[in-house]
Order: sequence, then C-alpha cells, then structure tokens
Amino acid sequence: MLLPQRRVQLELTVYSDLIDLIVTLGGLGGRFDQTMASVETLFHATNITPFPVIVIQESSLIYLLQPGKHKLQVNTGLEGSWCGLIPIGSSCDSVTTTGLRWNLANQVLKFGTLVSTSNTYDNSGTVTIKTDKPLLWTMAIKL
Amino acid sequence: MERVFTPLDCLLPAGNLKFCLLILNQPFDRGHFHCLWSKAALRACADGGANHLYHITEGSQDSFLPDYISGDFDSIQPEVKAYYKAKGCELIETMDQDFTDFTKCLQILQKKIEEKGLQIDLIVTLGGLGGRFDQTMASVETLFHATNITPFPVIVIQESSLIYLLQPGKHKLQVNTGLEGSWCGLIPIGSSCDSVTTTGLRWNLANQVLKFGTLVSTSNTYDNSGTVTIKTDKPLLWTMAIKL
Repeated sequence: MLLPQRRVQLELTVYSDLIDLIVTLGGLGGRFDQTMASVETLFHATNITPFPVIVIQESSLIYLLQPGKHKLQVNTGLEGSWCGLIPIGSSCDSVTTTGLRWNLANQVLKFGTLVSTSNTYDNSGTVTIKTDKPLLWTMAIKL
Repeated sequence: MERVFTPLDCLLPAGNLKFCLLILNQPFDRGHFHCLWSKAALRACADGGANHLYHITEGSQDSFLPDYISGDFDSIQPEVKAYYKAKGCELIETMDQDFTDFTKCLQILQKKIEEKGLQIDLIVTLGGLGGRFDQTMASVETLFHATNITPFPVIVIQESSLIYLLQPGKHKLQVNTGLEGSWCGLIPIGSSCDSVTTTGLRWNLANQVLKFGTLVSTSNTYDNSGTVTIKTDKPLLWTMAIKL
C-alpha cells in the first residue's frame, strides 16, 4: 500500500523511461493570439516538463530550442521543403548552423534585422544549430 | 504625441480612411476582399497573391485588375500571369532574395504612392497570417521593416485576425466600429517590452513587462469604452479579432 506521493513519483519514473517527447496537435492556426499563446506555452514548458514539446498543425511544426547546441535529424522522408529559425521573444546575438541551404555563421537573428524564413536543407539530412538564446525552429511536414 | 487610429475602419463601407491594398499569397475571405477592393486607392498583388485574386473573381476577373503584380514569380501560375499581362497590368519582377515578396511589394507601393501623390492614411495587407508558420513570421518581419519603407501604418488581415505593429510611444485605437470581434492581444514578438501601460482592455497593464516566458497578453478583450490606449517602450504587436 503506497502513499499517494510515492506512487506518483514511481509512475513518473516509469513513464520517463518510456517517453522522449510530448507532441501537441493543433495550436498554430486560426486566431493569431492563440498561435502566439502556443509559443508562450513552449517558453513555460521548460519549467513544467523535462521532455521536448513540439507543436504540429497541418504542414507546420514548431519547437523551441534552448540555448546551446542542437542536432536535428531531418531525414525521415516526411520533411517538407521549407524551414526557419525565428528569434521570437528576444534577439539572438549569436547563431551558427550547418545543414541549411542558407546557413548562419555566428550571426544575429532579430526581428527588424534578420529572421530565417523560407530556408531549406542541403543534402546532408542533418541540421545543427548553436544559439545563445531561446530560438524557435519551424519546419514543413509533407502532408 | 499620441497616434490615433481605427484599425477596422477600412472594412466599413462608409469608413473615412484612405488606403492602398496589397494582396499576399494566401486564401482570403471573400467578404473582406470586396469591401477592401472597392475602397482602395491602389491595388497590388505579391506574386502568388495574383492566383487568389484570379480565382476569387472568377467570371469577372476583368473588373478586378490589379495596378501591378510584383515578386520573383515563382508562385504565380503561368495562366494567371499571362491573363493579367494581356490585360495591361504592370508586372514587376523583383529578384532580390534577401527580402520577401511582401517587403518588396511594399517598397514598390510606397514609390507609386509618392509618384502619384496619393493622399492615404494606411496600407492594408490581405493574407499573410495563415498556412505556413514561417510565412506568418515573415509577415511580422515585414512589419518591422515597414517603418523604414513607408510612413504609413501597415496592417495585415486574414480571416478573423488582424495584426498591427505599434512603435514605441503612445497609441489610441478606436475599437467601436462594430466589426471588432471578442478577443485581442499584445505580443512582445521581437523583444521584451520593459514598460507597457494600457486602458480600455478587460485586463489592463500598468507599467508592466511583456515578455515571452513571463507574460504575453492573449485572449484579452475590451471594456465598454470603445477605445484602447497603449503606451510602450519597444515595438509591440497589437492583434485583434474581426467579426466575419
């Protein structure tokens, strides 16, 4: 007979061995304020869960990259043609990428200066991103 | 100095504000389209925006000819391009890959406004907020660049959403046209705002920080005053619902 708190702890331990991420369906269409609210939730998600959270709607996906280095495998065959890096929330002073058609080399990403949209992939099947601030990755999904 | 503006005046048949219309490459609402087209001083399409214009005016395309179509022409359908060319519409190819079709179309629009000496109050953009997420963000990016392209306010409308970038300073928005939907919001999209103060909203801000990860105003609404005032220290994106 377990105490409730202990039971929840055990359940979480079990689940954390079973899952790698949280997938959200919907959240990017319709009302513009709701799309922005979905992005806001991704910012709060870092304090809510250790798992990556992605949001998918129709042919768009968004995923908030925390400061640091990331390697995204984009070779599932389901990747659509476009992708982008959106400095939503604050400018990023230093972003470096590989694997994109238009890569960044220690560059500033900032609304009013440079935002990466309509980008695409080289043929490597892998994208790496190094960022000093939270940076929103977005990509197309083949329908 | 306070900027006074009625965002939805352009959708009122008897509205006072004079504007130019820019059509982007996204499906748009027939209702908005006809009202905006009939009142616009100048009408332009950015690349694939011409496809949507062509299809939404099926059967009477020759009564809805744009003043120009600009872009790198990778989205416009060949038969649409041929049709408007044959009808005498100006086609302006803009190959610069550093800027989006929207930004380049806006640059051309400003030049034509100056050349023709048009007296206008704002620029209305139809489309730009639906579909591809990166394109929605590109529309917002163009609003940031717009301050260096044109002195006129630029708004973007698609279906039931409107966005408008507020520059630092004081703004008074008249929201009593009767076309305002229930929701509105303030989005610190490019950078955090250290000090935002509002009146006229259900949940007002008093010298507060707006910042992703801290506080973003979404699902807000109006009090009954019919006016919203916003004071901001940084560019801040206003968004509101339009009754369809």
